[in-house]
Amino acid sequence: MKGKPVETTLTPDSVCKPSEDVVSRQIEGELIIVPITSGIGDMEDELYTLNDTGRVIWDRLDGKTPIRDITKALSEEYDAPPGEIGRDVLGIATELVRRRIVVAV
Amino acid sequence: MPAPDGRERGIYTSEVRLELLKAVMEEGKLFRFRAPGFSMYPFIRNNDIVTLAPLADRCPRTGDIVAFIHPGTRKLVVHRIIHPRDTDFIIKGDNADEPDGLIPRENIFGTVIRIERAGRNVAGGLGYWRRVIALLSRYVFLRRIVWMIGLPRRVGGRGLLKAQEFATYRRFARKLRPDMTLCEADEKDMNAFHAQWNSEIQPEPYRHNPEVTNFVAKHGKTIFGFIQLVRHPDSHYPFTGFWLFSLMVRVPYRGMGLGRELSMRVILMAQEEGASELSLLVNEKNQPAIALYRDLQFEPVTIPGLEERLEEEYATTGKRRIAMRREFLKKPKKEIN
Repeated sequence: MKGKPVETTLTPDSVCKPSEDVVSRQIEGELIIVPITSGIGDMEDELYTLNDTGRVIWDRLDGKTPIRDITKALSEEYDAPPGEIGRDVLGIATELVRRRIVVAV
Repeated sequence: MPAPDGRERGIYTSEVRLELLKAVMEEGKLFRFRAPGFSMYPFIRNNDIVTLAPLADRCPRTGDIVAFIHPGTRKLVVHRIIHPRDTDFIIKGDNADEPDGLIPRENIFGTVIRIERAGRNVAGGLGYWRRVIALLSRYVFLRRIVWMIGLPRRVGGRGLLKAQEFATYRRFARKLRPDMTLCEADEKDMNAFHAQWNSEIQPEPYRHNPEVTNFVAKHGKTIFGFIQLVRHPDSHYPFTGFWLFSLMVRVPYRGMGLGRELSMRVILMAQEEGASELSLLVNEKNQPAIALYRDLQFEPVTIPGLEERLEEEYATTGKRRIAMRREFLKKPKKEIN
């Protein structure tokens, strides 16, 4: 996506949601995210895809649920240590915010 | 957990592109993408970038270039409406013989509002002229007119090629040659080369290949000529050793000595790297190139393992290439007493 990366520090209490400047669609098993720059979805710009794990987190970034709760839910669902899951969720959410695909609310 | 992948541009299938287009149009946004193909020539050329605006409730009109799903192939097509009929539309490529058929309104997603070629907007097929173009296209005159418009250029091009065969022309042309630099190509040069010479093919992102050295003849950002020195390892049999590839000079600048100078760059680099021979392939009918290579001490050769391939190529394409090779004399080593 055009523009400088957004430098931000998320915490477990941060709440995030998909940016209004992206359009996403699940196609052939992949979640493809098209950035909208100046009202244009540009195939010549960089598009993004999320793998299964990224998609699970993306689906939960609803603008209401804090990262702490997303971590807890995933930890229970996948029977994995909350510390490890927490780092992963925070890491990918930060990366998504940095790339302007997701915004912190 | 992996970061989101930034996918390289242009590798999506037409089905994926169609789904993304639908997703963006549903949001009421514009959609910009590369349109491959020649069916809208000359108004949209292969790999021009077009921007689509969603139709929303607006009814498309005669002359609009629209994106639609073809009812037969289910593929995304970008062609021009040449005539409305009830609730459907007759749509046709400007360079096509036959219309695509009657296309229902619901198959049409959006209209083309911008066409970009080599970074510039080209508006010839849009605006007020679009109705006239639709009318001409409907009655098949359009292709004839386009052919007539291109005729002087084609005739002029052939005349120039003929003139370049004469030594007198070449003598004058060398004196009139514009200032240009011959050098090893860097990433910027290669990107400029692909944009100017292969604009109809979406270029791969630049990757340095240690087996290949590219040279260009350029002035500013304009590339006039190109050549490659390729070092093939034994595993590339029968293409082993040092090869001169891809000598290209823009037609108006032929006969100015560029081909010779570019070839000399490759010859000198191969010699410096200790090559015992330098090989190349050339079309047997390309007499000016063969004459140049002979002058540079290349001689026709038979390369084991390659002849069969060249025969197969001739059977498939009808074009025969011949191998030529220049051998380098090794400097005798000084004896140390």
